[in-house]
Amino acid sequence: MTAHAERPPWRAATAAALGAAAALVVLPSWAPRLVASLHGTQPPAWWQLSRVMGVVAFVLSWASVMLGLGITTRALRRWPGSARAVALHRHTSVLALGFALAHALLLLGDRLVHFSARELLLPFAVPHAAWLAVGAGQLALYLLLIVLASSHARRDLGVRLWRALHYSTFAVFALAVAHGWFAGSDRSALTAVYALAAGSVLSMTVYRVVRRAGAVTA
Amino acid sequence: MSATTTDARARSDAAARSLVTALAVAGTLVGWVVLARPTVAPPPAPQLDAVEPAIATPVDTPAIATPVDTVTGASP
Repeated sequence: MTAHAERPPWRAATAAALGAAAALVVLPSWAPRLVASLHGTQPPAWWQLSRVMGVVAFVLSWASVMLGLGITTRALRRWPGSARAVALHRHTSVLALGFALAHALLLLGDRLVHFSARELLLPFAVPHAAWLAVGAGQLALYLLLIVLASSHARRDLGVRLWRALHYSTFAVFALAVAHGWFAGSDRSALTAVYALAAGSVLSMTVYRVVRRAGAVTA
Repeated sequence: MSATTTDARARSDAAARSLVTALAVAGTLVGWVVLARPTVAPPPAPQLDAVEPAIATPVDTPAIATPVDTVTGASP
């Protein structure tokens, strides 16, 4: 018997009914706004989607870093469990890379700010007041790509080199915070998010360092 | 560990990953709707020439005489 056959049939029906009810409530107010943002000579949808996907990529990278730092802690071993924490750590980092790539590539279609492919690909090439902060985001994206590639090639690279490369995740996160803080259009609305994310990663890092130092001296 | 337990764990992990992906996509849609909402127009700036002076300059206006019907002596 397959796994799907074991599931009670009312689950799918309930999920479909709930989804349809939610769509009936939400779509009449949501759909016109989304359609309107795709119209006009300068449709703002590209810019809006790029901004949102940048924020989602940041939240995913924060979740990935926190899961990575917390894998060996007692709390994560209890829930969701070490194996699942590792699986989610990998999944969130891949998702973060996907959303960050979409965040950058969507700007190619944007007609409000006008970024060329060269300016998007080459770090610090943006002729913009916030060129340094935009460059920080570009560097973070390339570094994240290297970190993820090194994780997939871990067996070939060896644990020592993989670990050295994996430590650059801290640089990725710091660059992402700097990018969002200094170049982000939504900084005023997301100040608390950036502060909480940076504070939690810093606290968790200090905890890990102190715990390891304690384990070494014990 | 039995094959059933391994299979259940794999399904559970897949469900957790799907949930994270769905949350990220839902977050993107909600964020887009928030950014695409019609912006409220700011109140118009006050115009300088529309502001009345604090002290009105007294103007000597002649009293307007009420027209009186010279025949009957009645006023409208």
